[in-house]
Amino acid sequence: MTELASPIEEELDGPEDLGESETDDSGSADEPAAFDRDARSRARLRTLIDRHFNFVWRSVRRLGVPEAGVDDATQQVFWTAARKLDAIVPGREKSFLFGVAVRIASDARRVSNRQRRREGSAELEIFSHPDPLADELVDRKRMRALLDEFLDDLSIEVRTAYVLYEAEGMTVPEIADWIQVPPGTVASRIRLARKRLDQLVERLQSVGDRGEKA
Amino acid sequence: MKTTSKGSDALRIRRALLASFDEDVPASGAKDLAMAALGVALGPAAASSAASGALAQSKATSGSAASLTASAAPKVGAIVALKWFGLGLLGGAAVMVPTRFYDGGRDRKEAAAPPAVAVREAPRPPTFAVAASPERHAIESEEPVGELAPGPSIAASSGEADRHGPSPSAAKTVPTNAVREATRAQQDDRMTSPLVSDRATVPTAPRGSAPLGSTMDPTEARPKSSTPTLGAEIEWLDAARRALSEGNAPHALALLNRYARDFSQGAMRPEADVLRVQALIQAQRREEAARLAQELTGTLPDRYVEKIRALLEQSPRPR
Repeated sequence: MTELASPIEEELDGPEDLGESETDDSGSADEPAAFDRDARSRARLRTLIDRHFNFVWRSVRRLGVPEAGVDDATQQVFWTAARKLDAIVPGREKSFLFGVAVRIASDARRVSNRQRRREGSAELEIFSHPDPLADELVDRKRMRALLDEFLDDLSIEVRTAYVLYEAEGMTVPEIADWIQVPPGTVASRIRLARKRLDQLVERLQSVGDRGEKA
Repeated sequence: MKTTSKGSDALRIRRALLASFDEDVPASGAKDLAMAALGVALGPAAASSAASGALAQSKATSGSAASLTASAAPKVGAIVALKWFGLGLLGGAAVMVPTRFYDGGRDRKEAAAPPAVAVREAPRPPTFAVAASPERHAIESEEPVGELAPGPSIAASSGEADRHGPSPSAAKTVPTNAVREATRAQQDDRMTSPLVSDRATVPTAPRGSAPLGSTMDPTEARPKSSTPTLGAEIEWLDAARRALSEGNAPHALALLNRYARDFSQGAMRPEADVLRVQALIQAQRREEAARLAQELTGTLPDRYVEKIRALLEQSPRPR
């Protein structure tokens, strides 16, 4: 697994800034392969989008891109992939795309976090909800918002491992292979996330209990 | 006994939290649009037909959107750059005109909606599976347990293994389009952080005060916004819930009737149904509650049905 270049590192280490590239690309004559691709690479890109669109979409969402920006972030991932088609090792397309998604989501998260700080912390306001939580359990949207809150408190590394494990159902070795870190590290990241989730569940429960007593 | 119920509560909460991952599904036209944007749709005709439904519907005819679908293949770089620029503009515009953006859909023309937003208008078939259950289960069982926390954490893990089980597809049968629409209605102020605004929307709903105070005549009470937003729906249901916790079942029922009328395609209909059963029981109308429960079985996702069943079991049968 080590002989394969990590898509994440490749993407993270890449000096290019996507935003910059976009403006530079607009009329550049020396733009490489991506926009001058032949039928085969177009077909490959098409297959990539066709097969992995949903995966990339939900990944960027789960990695912290605000809901309203998910479609665009997803296109951005494929746009980046289009420019690097030749670098994508056959059979590793999904992990490559995920690597790009991690990078793009990290950028989006930074923006979103700044925004949150500006708006002041409404942290866990939901916990002050006076009604019994048991009833809240049926509220999917609230659950998703809570889940987001929980995920937002994780570092991107922990979040990445957790999302792949818990939401995508991948195994620890698979995740280790994808993100190119030792399985032990992946496992401890997942453990950390689960511990945090336990704490969240405990808090939710205690709110529920308070509500029932009231 | 108490601990067991506490434990199962925790499991329930955990499941509900993790099951909400299933909400993460793209709109139906999003993929086609991405293909068009990247110039790999099946020819210009396919590209435009893929996106045209939604685009024509919302008339997202800003320069970037129009050029994007019309000539997808050439000059993609320029188009994409233009699109991102357009998106930036839209972000600003959408924040400034939050309600008009949703109202009627026609106003979106002025809001220069980008194709990505436009496509969200398209009805979404409930066919996407977030994590294919069989595969998921296979992976769960192959999981190298030893690597992760042995003990309680693992126990929880195995308990969670069936969280996709109770019918992910059934969960999708709740009005997903309505969910999307309701969510979209809020998107304007969620451009940067939906989570913050979600938090803000839900708990800041006026409690015990107008327009949804429990002493208020329900016929006069109306959601603040005339457009069905998730926030408004939650306000109604919160008010009904409050009425119930205050023992005012008739008022809760009145609120729920009003909710059913104003939000006939509401995203929170299953929650409303559960509350209605609860209210009927509390109003000593158990037979009606049981009848309603019967009608609802099969139309609601399992966990709602279970909740309703539990409510009925807890209530004493009339002699």
